[in-house]
Amino acid sequence: MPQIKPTRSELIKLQRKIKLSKTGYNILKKKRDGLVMNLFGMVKDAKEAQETLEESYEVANRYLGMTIAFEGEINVASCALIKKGTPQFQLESKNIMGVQVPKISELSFKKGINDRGYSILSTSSKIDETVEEYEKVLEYVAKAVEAESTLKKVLNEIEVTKRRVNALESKIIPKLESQKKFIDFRLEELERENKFRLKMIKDKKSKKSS
Amino acid sequence: MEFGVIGDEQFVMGFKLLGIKKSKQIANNQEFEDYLIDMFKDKDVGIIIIQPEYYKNLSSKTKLKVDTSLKPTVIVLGEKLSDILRDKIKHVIGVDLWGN
Repeated sequence: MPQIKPTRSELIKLQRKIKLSKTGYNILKKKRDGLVMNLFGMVKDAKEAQETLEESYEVANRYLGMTIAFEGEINVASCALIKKGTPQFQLESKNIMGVQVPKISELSFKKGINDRGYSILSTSSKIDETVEEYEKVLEYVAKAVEAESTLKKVLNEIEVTKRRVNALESKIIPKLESQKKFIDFRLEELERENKFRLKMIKDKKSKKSS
Repeated sequence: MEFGVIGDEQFVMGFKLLGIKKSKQIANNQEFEDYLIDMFKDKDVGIIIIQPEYYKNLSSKTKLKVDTSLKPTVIVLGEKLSDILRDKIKHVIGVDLWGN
């Protein structure tokens, strides 16, 4: 039995701890269930995002192959070197049931034909079409990254919450309750001893007086 | 934040056409792993795009980092959801949601 003082003040403290632990346990259970419900939608989104990305990349890759065959590798490579501006994005965070998940915003890479850096006269439309397809790929990359990162974070949070719920359910609350039981038992014992002692004293007194 | 791309010549060229400056053209698996580790240290890179052929040959330590890193996030273009993430879904909720 754990070393705990069997006093009324300890009993009161324990009762408070048990109440708090049980409240926490119920809240964490609800959080776990809520996260799992949300997870189904997230897995679906991540799967769709990845499928769209794959399809888009296949198309873009085909366009690139055709462009290289038509324009020549050196021409395409030189257009790639001339290209102005770097695609950028902002990484923010949003809250899903207390979990901070990434949000990609302000994706800036789409440029008009005249702003791409290379001359539209010395290149064919194939390069422009390839660039447009790759722009779509980059957009889907951002969506897929957001969906997958959200999924990873929520999975981690579900794991942590599950562990806490299990720890409360199988270790902490049973331990506190057994300590409470021990103190209750000892206090009852002390009361019985006191009652017996008082009875003995009373009997002695009554014998003396008689 | 910027995009980073690592892969062979044709893989990288398409993204270079968009103006992605942080791109590395590689010739073998060791170079790929070295450049990938370097790119992880670059604080301006938020998303790294890599090829599945080279991802499969990564060391287990780097593969774990690739699969679990959130900043930067690595996306394997042309590859289905990594087995690690799929296993994690099965482990956490007991059902293979990805396969359904």
